[in-house]
Amino acid sequence: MAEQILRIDSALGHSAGPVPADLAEGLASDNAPLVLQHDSVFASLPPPPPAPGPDFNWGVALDSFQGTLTDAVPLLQWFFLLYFIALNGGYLLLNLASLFMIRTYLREQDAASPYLNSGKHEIPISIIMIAGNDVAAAVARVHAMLQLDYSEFEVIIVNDGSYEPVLKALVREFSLAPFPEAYRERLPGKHVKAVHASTLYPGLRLLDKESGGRADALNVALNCARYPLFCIMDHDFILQRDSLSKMGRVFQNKPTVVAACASVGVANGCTLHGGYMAGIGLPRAWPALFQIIEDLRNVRFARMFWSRLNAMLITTRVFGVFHKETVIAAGGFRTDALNEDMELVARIHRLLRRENKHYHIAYVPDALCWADAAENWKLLKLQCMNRQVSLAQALEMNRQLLLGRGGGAVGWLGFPFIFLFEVMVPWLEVLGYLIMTLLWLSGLISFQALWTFLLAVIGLGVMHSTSALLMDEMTLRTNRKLSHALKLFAVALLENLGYRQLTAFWRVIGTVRMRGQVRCANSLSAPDSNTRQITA
Amino acid sequence: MAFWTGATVLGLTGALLLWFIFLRLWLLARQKQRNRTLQRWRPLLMSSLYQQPEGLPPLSRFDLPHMFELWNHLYDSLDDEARNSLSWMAGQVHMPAAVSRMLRRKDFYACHLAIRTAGNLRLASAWDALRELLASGSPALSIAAARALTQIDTLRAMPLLMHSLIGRTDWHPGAVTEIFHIAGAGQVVPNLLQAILDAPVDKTWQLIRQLAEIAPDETQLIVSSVFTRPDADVKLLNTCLDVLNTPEELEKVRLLTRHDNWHVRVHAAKALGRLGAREDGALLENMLGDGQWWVRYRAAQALSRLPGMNTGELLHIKDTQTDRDARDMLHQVMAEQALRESDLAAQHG
Repeated sequence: MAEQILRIDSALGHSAGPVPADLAEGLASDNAPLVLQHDSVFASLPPPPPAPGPDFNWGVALDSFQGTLTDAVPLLQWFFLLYFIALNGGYLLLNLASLFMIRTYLREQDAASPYLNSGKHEIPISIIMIAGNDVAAAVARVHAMLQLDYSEFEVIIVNDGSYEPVLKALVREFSLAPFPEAYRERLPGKHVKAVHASTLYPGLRLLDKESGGRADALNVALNCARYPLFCIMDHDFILQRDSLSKMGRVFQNKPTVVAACASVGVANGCTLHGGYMAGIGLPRAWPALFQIIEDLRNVRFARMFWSRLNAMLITTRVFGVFHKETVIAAGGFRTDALNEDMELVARIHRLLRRENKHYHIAYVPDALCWADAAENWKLLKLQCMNRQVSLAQALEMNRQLLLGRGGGAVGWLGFPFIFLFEVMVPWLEVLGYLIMTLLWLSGLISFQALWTFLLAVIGLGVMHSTSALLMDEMTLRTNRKLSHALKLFAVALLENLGYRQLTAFWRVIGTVRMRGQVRCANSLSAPDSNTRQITA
Repeated sequence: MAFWTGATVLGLTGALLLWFIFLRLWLLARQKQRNRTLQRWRPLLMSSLYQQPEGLPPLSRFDLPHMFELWNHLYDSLDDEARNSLSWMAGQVHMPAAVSRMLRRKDFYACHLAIRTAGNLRLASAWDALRELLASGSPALSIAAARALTQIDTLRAMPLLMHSLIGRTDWHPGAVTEIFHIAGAGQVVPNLLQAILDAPVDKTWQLIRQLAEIAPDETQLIVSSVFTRPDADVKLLNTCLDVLNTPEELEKVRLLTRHDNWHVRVHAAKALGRLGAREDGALLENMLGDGQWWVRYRAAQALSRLPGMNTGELLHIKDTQTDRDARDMLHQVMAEQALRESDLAAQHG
């Protein structure tokens, strides 16, 4: 059977539709099949209207799709319900397990405090501070650091190309003079212009360097650090006088500890004395209040459990003390990481696991450090976005840890948990609410089914939040005043009616936007560009 | 299912709120009870220091923990004569019997308080219970038991204490030192020397440090024997170099400045700075060219601390160095020395 050729111009759109009958007539005289090819001969022909194929019925297809969707509705409902149960139930179980661990920790510390307070066996610590652009705050912060209750420590201030008056004020206030440091570059970093040492306070030095971002500043400071442990003091951190000794104790008690982290509490509403925390209070602004509950719910207790399994990964800001040589051996802080601390902890896990080393990353549950939380929604939105992307990036940079051979508890439990219940949460949460609402709007589920779903999901969230508050009451008792505790209980109820959903939405938006920005930054190949700051 | 999940969790949330309020009320009640106990017993305990009070009230079950807390606090802050008065009063209100009961309790705080009280009361009848608690999984309970046993009968307690000291890794060195001070060097040293001989290598260095804290001179024999061992562990060598306090072993220290491990070289340089003689200058000058920053730093510090060394001489040594690293290091150490001196001058003037 000979093949008939029908040439059709692609611009006419015939390629997708059937050949008109008047064109086909006479050409396919011997019943040979028609094969369409492009040809300018047919260019002048008017485009035929698209028509459904002879064997395609839209009505049937729609019915079939609706049928499939109807079948999938219960599956979707179950999926999201079970996910929310797993999420809140998982955290609830972690918090419950941590409750006993924290109680044990606290009673042991309490009983041992008469011996521990002598300070005789404390391991020396280098405190690294990056000078900000606020003159008064920088000076006050250094003064506060110098009064820390610790037997041996040094303070290294890094002027990372910041505002000139800050440098001048620090030099004047602490009588800093040029010092001939025998600098050794163990970690790469930007050029150090000068090292100053205080003639008034032994152990206080200032490194004046070219601007390179926080990670670069920390690496340069590590090159100059003299002591086996170091801690990073962000410019807004507020400590207690004994914060450092509590952190250092972890290293004394267990020589295999390479890093210790403590949560950063919300400082808004608290009272300070001499740069130190004097009294715990509550903020007035709702965003800051919600963040207190969020911290208790997802961070403060769960970390204790992960620490016990040696599977702790950092998901939010921490006050950390690190073993210097371990960090240097791991390559220091990555300048391309959005959150260096998060990434570093994941990398330490990955590298030490790979080398089969016996190590521990510990968590100190006492409230030791505070910082101001965002009090307006715009700033909170930025923080949510930043946090989500930095966490995803830190995990991505250390993805070999996930379910890897020799990954241990962190690779097989900690990492997957964080991925499922931290990185994926905003996506699934937003998707869950969206799909259930769409199903209701399209009439596939009743209003009763929708509100029952919401009741279950929000109820689980409420229980998760309030239980975290109760656990705080049973262990750390951060809020001494009953009025504060009851107010927070009310906030824990309200937090689930909008705030949680809103932050999930922001985190999704953040991921989408930042992915674009990071890709753009990478394509511009600017390895030194400081990607910490993002804009709304 | 969704409805029941929602209803259940909301019901549980209500229960959590009630529990929360109950906890607060309970804490409040306990605080009030504590204040009442202190108000009742503090004047009685204080007056017992001067005269034996008559007509003491009975010690109720609710008063026990707060009263023990107060009693121990006073006991730890007073001298021996006053302690005898407190012990007499404890006998009058039947504290020993209460302590024996509390030692068997599962509650951590009650048990810890009872151990402390048993030790301070020298309660021989509590020996067996305390011996059991010495093996407790809780480091705080076991160290408190070790302290109490030492207070009750030092001679019998020492072998038990040494056995635990070798076996455990969770005892805080500060707490151990405190127990050794309670026991006295005379009782501790022979037992500790024996423990050093019996202990595994990875534990020996810790015991030597403990010995150096309580009887520094007694460590020298051990140090000397460690230096002669060709296979000595690095940590052990470092500890011995740190606790060394006589120049008799200097020859061995000088040999250790050429050790393969740079940590040992660092400690050897430090020891030379502490005990070295003027003739060690050349050796330390050589160490200024070491590949490790810390060896160069400690060698420069040691050089600056040698007897008779002054700034002029250091400057001369610095200028004669051909190695830039050595020069830089000496420069840094000299600057540090100048800062220290100016700081001292500021403090005195």
